[in-house]
Amino acid sequence: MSFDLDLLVQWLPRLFRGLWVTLQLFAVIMIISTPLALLVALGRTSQNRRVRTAAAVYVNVVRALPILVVLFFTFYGLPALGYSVQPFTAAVCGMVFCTTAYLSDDLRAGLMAVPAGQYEAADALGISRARFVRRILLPQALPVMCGPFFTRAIVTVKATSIASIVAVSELTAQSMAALTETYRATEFLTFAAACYLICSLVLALLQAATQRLVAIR
Amino acid sequence: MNQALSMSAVNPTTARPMLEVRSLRKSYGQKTVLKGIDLKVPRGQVVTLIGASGSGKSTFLRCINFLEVPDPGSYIFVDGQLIGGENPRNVPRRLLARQRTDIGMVFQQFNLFPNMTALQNVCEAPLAHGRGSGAEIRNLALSLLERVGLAEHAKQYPSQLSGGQQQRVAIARALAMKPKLMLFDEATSALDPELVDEVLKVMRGLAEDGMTMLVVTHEMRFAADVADRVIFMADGEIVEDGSPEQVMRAPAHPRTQAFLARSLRS
Repeated sequence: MSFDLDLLVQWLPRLFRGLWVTLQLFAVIMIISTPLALLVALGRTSQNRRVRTAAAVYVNVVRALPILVVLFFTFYGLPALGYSVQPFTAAVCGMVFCTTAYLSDDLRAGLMAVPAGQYEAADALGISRARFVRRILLPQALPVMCGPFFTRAIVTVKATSIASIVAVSELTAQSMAALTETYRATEFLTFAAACYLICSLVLALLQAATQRLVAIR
Repeated sequence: MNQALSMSAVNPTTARPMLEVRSLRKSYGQKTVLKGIDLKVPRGQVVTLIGASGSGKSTFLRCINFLEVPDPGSYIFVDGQLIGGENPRNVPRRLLARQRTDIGMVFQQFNLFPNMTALQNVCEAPLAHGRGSGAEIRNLALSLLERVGLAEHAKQYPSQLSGGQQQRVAIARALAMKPKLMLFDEATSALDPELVDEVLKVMRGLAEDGMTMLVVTHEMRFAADVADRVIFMADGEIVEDGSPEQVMRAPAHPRTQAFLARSLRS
């Protein structure tokens, strides 16, 4: 079976529209999840037991749920409860709900790499917790968080393909549409795979750059 | 407090002890680490705490600035102020943060902030508490680094400094809040032997300048030469309390005798 380049070119506009949706989906998820995940991670290392427990319960419940079930819930369940949402919004809600939990565990590893002595030194100097987090904890935790964060980002780019199942016309959905219409698989799946590969590669490069930026002497 | 008031009528600054500890107890679950400690330290006195590991001397030190919260019924006064307020189960954070600036602490592992230069480490607490303009704080920090002999290392990061230098920066950092009382928790224990003296020299200088100091140490020489008073602790209690000559040359208690015999031999 030959590789029909002309057919692929013909479909390129639709495929790029799909890629654009994938990138939007990814960007929105990461932009919302990252600060939330940081809060959850801080919550899990909080001195307040209730905050700690609540954060741990959230993370452990989400970890136990298949992401597809969560997406079905936000896609079918939310409308059933009277909230009408676009497929894109439903996908964002479900994936933010899950990604925040996964990502918080990744970020928590960075927070835990900062030794207890740093907390004690700041406490002994009467430095407030908020200032400690901003000036002492995060600058030390970021270099450790960097690797797991970008690994999670790469996993998330690929995971956006699940949104195709809840009617979001992203890259995988468009490729599948092309496939069902033309009965040609190789062209479109190769294209989709290449796109995901390039996204991951760009993220890996970003990781290297970020790691240099946040490094401590 | 009535007593304190009547005393202050006689002499407001010298009569009131810089540190007063009343029936300090600390337990973790069933295990009692401090069994009711009473202590008064007058202004300017240098006290060394000695004792075997596990005797509770570090916990005692850490209770003074509430790094460990003492059991209810314990009272710690620094310059007449009750640390942590009336209820140790619910300590107002703001109050404690302000009170802690009166109590400088130096740790065994230095605990400098590795993401900041020596100068930034010293500036951080005064900046956090808004103690003057940026330039004023910087000048104060530079003069403190000068005092510990590290003016030319101001721009260096902790990882670029030796252990002894790091500990001296840590002392400067604690002094930056102009504390009334300094706590040293085995400040030289993590240092290579050849670096111990430079830190002890700084501590000796502080003592000569009239700082009130509580020093947990294994340095018997420091205890003998610099301290005004030596306290021997065992099993969460003060067993012996007196002048260095008294405690170290002629200890009354058999446990002190045994401890000193062991540590002077090694």
